[in-house]
Amino acid sequence: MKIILPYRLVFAALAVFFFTSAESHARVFGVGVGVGRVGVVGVGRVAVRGVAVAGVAAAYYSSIPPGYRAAYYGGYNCYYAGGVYYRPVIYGGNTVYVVVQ
Amino acid sequence: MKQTTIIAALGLALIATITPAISAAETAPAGGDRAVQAMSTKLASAKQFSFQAEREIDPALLEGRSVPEKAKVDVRISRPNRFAARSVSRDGARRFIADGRNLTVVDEKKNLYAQVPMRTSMDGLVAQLDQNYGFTPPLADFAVSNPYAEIRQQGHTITSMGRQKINGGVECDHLALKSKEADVELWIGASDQLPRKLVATFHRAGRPQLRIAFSNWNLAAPVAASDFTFTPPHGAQKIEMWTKARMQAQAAATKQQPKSNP
Repeated sequence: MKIILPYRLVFAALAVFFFTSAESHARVFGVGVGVGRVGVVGVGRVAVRGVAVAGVAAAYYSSIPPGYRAAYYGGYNCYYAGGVYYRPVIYGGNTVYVVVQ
Repeated sequence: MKQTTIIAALGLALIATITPAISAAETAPAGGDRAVQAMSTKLASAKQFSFQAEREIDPALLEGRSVPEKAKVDVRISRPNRFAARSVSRDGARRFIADGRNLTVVDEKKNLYAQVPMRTSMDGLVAQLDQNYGFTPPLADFAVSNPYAEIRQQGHTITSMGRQKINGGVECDHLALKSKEADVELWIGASDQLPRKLVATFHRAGRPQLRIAFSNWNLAAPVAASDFTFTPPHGAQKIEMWTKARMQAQAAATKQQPKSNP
């Protein structure tokens, strides 16, 4: 008698078990924890809360320097401060500012 | 024919052996598990409900912060697809309003708002926001249709730590939820099965915490359409809500360009 194991079934069962039990969700009660996510704000990790810091390679800033004024620039309502135009957007549920080049 | 029969029999036997073991491990109704399931059932059965929470997040879990973020959050839900939350912290007040058609995020202090189409249920809203925008509405884990499944999906194992009195004598089931990312303690009211307190300690340097104290649960809250309707205040400016992909593209573009000093 020749016994052939139904390896496809075995593999499928094991794959279902290991993949579902080992998978980690990227959020723990609202706090992002997975790859590419550090905190509540989201994936950026390049923003600065407080005043914007010179020389930071930032995709966005969480706040802008004091003394800004409203300005329309590049087709957007922006804030102007220190020679830079900051455009507000909502990102990660918060208001952040991207520099208009 | 005989060989085929043996193969089929072995296959079924193997599945029969493995499947109950998996099911038992995944759904064993241990004490802690039962308490979370009861909480989940109670919240899921509430069609219109509201609650409040004080949420504190250690700075290591936030970007560029040196002090914890403390916020008072009011949440109002009308199943299946309407959600409103207002979060007030030292940085200002934010509102999240989902009416089944759109999601609006409002920055009250700066008088800014963004609106994106979101024709979906509460569960769909949470999933889409998480997937595309990298955040979820405040305390949404307790507003989805099956909080138990959500908690299990986060990879937590659940252990009962017995009974404990908190908040001036409310007897609670004290539960330990452990996952790869965090150890979570959850206190669920023994008499009403409602979440009362949550402390999540994350497995990273400094063991930062998320702390939530729940209060004022109302599982039959009166809700009006206006609770989930956003009317822009005078002078409010509409801005864009950026996806994770868009911000990543912005980050890539920023790296490539010589940056003027802000």
